[in-house]
Amino acid sequence: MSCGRCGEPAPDGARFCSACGAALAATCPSCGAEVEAGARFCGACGTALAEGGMAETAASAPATPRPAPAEERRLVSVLFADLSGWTAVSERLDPEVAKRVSETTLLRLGEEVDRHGGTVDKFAGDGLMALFGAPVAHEDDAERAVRAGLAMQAAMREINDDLTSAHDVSFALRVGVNTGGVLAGAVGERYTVTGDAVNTAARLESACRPGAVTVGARTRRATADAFDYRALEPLTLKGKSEPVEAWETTAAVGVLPGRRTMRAETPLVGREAELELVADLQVRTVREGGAHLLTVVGGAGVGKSRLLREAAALLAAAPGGPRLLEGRCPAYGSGVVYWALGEVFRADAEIRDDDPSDVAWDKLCRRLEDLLGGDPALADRRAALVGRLLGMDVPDSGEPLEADAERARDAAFAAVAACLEAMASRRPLVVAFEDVHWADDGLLDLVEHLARFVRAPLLVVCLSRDELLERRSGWGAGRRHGTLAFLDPLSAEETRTLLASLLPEHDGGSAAALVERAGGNALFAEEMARRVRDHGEGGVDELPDTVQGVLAARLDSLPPVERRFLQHAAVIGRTFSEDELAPLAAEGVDVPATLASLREKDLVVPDGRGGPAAAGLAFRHVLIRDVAYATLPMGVRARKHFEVGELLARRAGDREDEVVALLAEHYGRAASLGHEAGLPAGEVDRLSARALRFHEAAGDAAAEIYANREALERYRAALDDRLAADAPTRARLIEKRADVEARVGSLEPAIAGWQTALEAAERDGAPEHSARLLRKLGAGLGREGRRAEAVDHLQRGIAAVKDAPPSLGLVLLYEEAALLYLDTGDNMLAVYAAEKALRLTERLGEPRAASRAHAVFGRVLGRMGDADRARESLERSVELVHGDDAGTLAALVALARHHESVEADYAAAGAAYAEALAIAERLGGVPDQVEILLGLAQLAVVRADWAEAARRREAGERMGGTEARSRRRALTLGLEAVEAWRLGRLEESETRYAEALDLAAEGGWTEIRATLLHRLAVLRRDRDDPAGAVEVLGEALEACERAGMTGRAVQLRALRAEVLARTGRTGDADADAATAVEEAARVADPVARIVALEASAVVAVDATRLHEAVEGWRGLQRPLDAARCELLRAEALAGSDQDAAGEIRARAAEELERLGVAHLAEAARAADAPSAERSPG
Amino acid sequence: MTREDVLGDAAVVRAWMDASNAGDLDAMLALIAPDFEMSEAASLPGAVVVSGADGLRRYVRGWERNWSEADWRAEETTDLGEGRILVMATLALRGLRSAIDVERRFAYVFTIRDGRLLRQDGFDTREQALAAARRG
Repeated sequence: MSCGRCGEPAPDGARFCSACGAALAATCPSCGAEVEAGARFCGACGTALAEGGMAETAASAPATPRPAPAEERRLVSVLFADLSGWTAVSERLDPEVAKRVSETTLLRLGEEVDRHGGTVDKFAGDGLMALFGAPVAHEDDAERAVRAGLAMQAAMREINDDLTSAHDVSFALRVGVNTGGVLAGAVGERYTVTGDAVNTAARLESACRPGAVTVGARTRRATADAFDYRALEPLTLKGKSEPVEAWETTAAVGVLPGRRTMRAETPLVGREAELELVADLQVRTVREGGAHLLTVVGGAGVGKSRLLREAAALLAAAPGGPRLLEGRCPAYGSGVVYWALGEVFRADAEIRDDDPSDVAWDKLCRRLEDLLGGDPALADRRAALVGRLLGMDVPDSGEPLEADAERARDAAFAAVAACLEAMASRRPLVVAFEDVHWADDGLLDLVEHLARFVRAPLLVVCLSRDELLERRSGWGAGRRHGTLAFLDPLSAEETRTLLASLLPEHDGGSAAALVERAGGNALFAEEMARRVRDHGEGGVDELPDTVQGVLAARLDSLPPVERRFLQHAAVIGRTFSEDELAPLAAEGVDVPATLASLREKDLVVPDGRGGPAAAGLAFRHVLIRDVAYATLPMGVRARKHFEVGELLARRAGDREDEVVALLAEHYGRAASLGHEAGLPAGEVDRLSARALRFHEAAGDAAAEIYANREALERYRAALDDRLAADAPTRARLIEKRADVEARVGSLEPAIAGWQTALEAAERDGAPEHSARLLRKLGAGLGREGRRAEAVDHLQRGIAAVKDAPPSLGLVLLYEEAALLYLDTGDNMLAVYAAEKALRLTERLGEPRAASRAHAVFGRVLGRMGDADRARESLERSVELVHGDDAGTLAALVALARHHESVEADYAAAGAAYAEALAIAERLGGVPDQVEILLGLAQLAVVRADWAEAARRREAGERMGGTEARSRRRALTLGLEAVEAWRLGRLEESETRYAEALDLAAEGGWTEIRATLLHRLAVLRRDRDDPAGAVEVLGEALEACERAGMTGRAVQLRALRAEVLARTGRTGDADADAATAVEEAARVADPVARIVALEASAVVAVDATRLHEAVEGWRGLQRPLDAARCELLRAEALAGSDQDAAGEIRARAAEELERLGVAHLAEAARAADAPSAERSPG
Repeated sequence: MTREDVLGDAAVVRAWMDASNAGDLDAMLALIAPDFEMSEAASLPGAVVVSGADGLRRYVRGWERNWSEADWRAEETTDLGEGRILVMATLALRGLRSAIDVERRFAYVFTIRDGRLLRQDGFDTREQALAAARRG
């Protein structure tokens, strides 16, 4: 006799192999009867037996261990078991006896490992180490390991009974289980695993209480539904810097392993057709009075069990609905081949798990008598046949057993069929078997037998994975009474619906990622959603152990060549082409045949998305790719990525640019993994050089098309210290990264980057490069409001190159300086710089480069009130940059501002902003987008469209470009202040203005400051603080006059005239009004003209001219100003025509109410209320 | 230093500003010392330092290529002693290409030696000019 597993010779009578611990007993695993060596079926119950008399247990059937690759990374559960008290026992026993006791005990414990699908890695002294998940993974290895540990404890109790009676000794057993990633492969000639998970398992075992099983955090997480756990104090373990979380268990929650917890809260999505099918077939069995076999086939987690539960509920709710009995085929551990059938009969006969065997037998007999009636002897015989099949303890009836095993089996099948037929005759019956892919052939034969021979309304539903069809290709199909239904993955929309119910609080971003990764698998979606719920958004990319277990088991069920194929393809990516598999062919793999097999198994599918390098094929499920990839050791991955990169580069030839991102990805991973794996230095250098080159090239390509995030990632990757870029390369990359950072609004890091690059350029003595960096720094610092530093940098830049031959770099420097001075209200210096820029472009013959100079002229002219010439300059600015997106964007924004603030042409301003926004969105420039959004918000304020104003403002804030000290922040605060004013929250409005004004003063942004002061004056007027209003108007006027902002100055002066008139300072009011009218006549500014008219009319108490002003506001489409001016008109009329005044005031109040400014409406309705002043437009 | 000296120095400055406004390069050259130096206010984009007669010639030619009109008006003159005159002046310009009229106030420290203009230093503010004069 020899061991069926390892071939080691074994003496007669031995029950276990002395080499590997495998069970040697020749008994039927179903009924326990001894069987002849070489028997194919059990003579007692007909169970099919494997070669050597061993049962083809479900544990070994679906996932036959195969030779593992030399080295792989695997997720395993490691079990350590140790006999406590061994030293004391060995002192008391003779050494030979002690050795035998130890050997027998450990071998018996090893049997439990084997029974649960694990592998004994080694026996060491008084303990053993076992692996679950290597060399072959099961989807529930952690649970198997813990169950094995508990089974060992049970076995230990039996062993102790024997040891106590034989030698008066006993042991206590400690078991530790830990789950984690390991490297699996050969050490010397032995397959084993290494990694921290192993050490921790050993330490957990050392710390375990005798008689219990102690597990680590990851094991506990993966098995929380299957066992009762008690949290232990975190353990301080030898060799561990931090305390380790630990849990103790002494019992499983359920009888059967592997059942997933049902989560009732998950809705059934996208299975309406399948539900209908089940219902239709059940009705058909009733109509035809016969059996039907429905097999539902789908991958793990696709929703088969869920479908069954829903169908059961649906059928149960129907009038005259069928009875449902369920059985499940366990993956391992039951030791009974027909376990699933047993569940059906036990449920029907109401046999409880804890019924003693005689009670169970009695219940079965009574039930069958009831069902079959007639001859009690026949009923007893059938009960005996069924009972043996189910592994029950059948009393000896004295009748001889059937000598022919096949005939015995036929008799048992007939008995089962008769019983089910009797049940179904009384009430239509549905018998459902889950996990049929794990069923023994005997059960499969029985199911087919039932479908063929039962003559009563019986629907047999089998739920199975694809593996069943690999074993039995003709299963369920091609028969009149058989239906095969494939459960497809959920669509993206269905997965989204499922996720929405699980993660109602999460936004579209993480949901989209989950949809992508779940690939239509309901279980994966649920598990990953649970991970996100427990661990936040960071959990999206991490694979839950449960999912990894399912997929690793699927991979391990494949022939080695197919696994290798998938691992190689995984390195290429989710999609790949047959060309890219060339290295496999070179290794002797028959690529077409392997591919055909994998397509047949639905692991690889055609990919229609195409692309320069990835046309053709794709992993059916991205997670299979991820798991296949994760199994490769880092060093192997590194080399394979490099290999794929080289192949792609060769294939691309001179079209390398088209695949530069792909090359960067492969070379980048190669280098990174090479470092982590500790590949030889020379090899790592080679990988790093490629990675550096292609990261930069990919960053450049991305930046060129404004794929800013991608560009940033590439430059950051290139700057990884491990790639060891030399100093010039590093400085260049830092500058490029800073450029993109500025584009997306991250000014601080951009400025720091440019500064670093500048130091390098100055060290290298490169003045033109230094000047370029100084310009960028000047612009960035100016945008941050660091005016003095900005000026200093720009001046230094100009100084660096102004004596060199004219260059575009110098043009840009002058233009940047002009824009900076424009912002700070220094028209002279702005024009001075712009003139110089324009002169240089003439010398260079590059008129297009002068767009920004023309924009500066236009804005200065606008400030001065020369609207026509301003518009001409600004339009010229737009023309000059036709075809240049970034230039057009800047020119359009300048034109929009002009339309808004000079010409009061709000429609034209909106159109220019909209055009600019479309460009900014395309370019991905965050600061530009934010400025435009704020500009659009301001236009909405003018129209009194508050909702739109808030929407635009908030959109700008969400983009994150409103840093604490920025110009955009000042604009945002100003808009918030207006909103507070509108809502009558005047104190809050004042606070906002104060904050905004601080920022504007610090940054020296004159136009913004003048606007804010103007609005603040309106607010103070509304707060009945005319003195305060006059004070800030004075400040504003001074700023405007200094900056030559003529039109704005007219508006301020007019407002001051009205405030002064109300406080009785008529002389001052007259003077201001007269000046305003005079100056308004000199500028082509429609707002200035109307506001001056309004002020002079207020001072003169002239209702007629105020009516003209009202019409003027209406003409400009400024409804709020029109309503406010109506109030002024009512006030002017009050002395002469009280009724007309009242009527006008009432209408104005109504209009103000409609426009959403309730506090002004309220004030208007109060008979003696002071009328409002111009609104903050 | 005598009263005549001060008047003389101020007269040199006035003559210099008049010649500049008239665009009379020869008159300007006649007023400068051989080692003449001129520095523009640091705030002027691309502010230059001009040295000697040749430098002045180049500067004036360049000026004419940027501005169609210039008017330099002294508003306040202060004798700082030791041949130094502080002038607060408004510089009004019309851009050659933009035709935009702009003006701005600057402070200047003129250094006169032997009746010739040795230095002209421009500043943004009076304070900056005085501080520079104190430093020498």
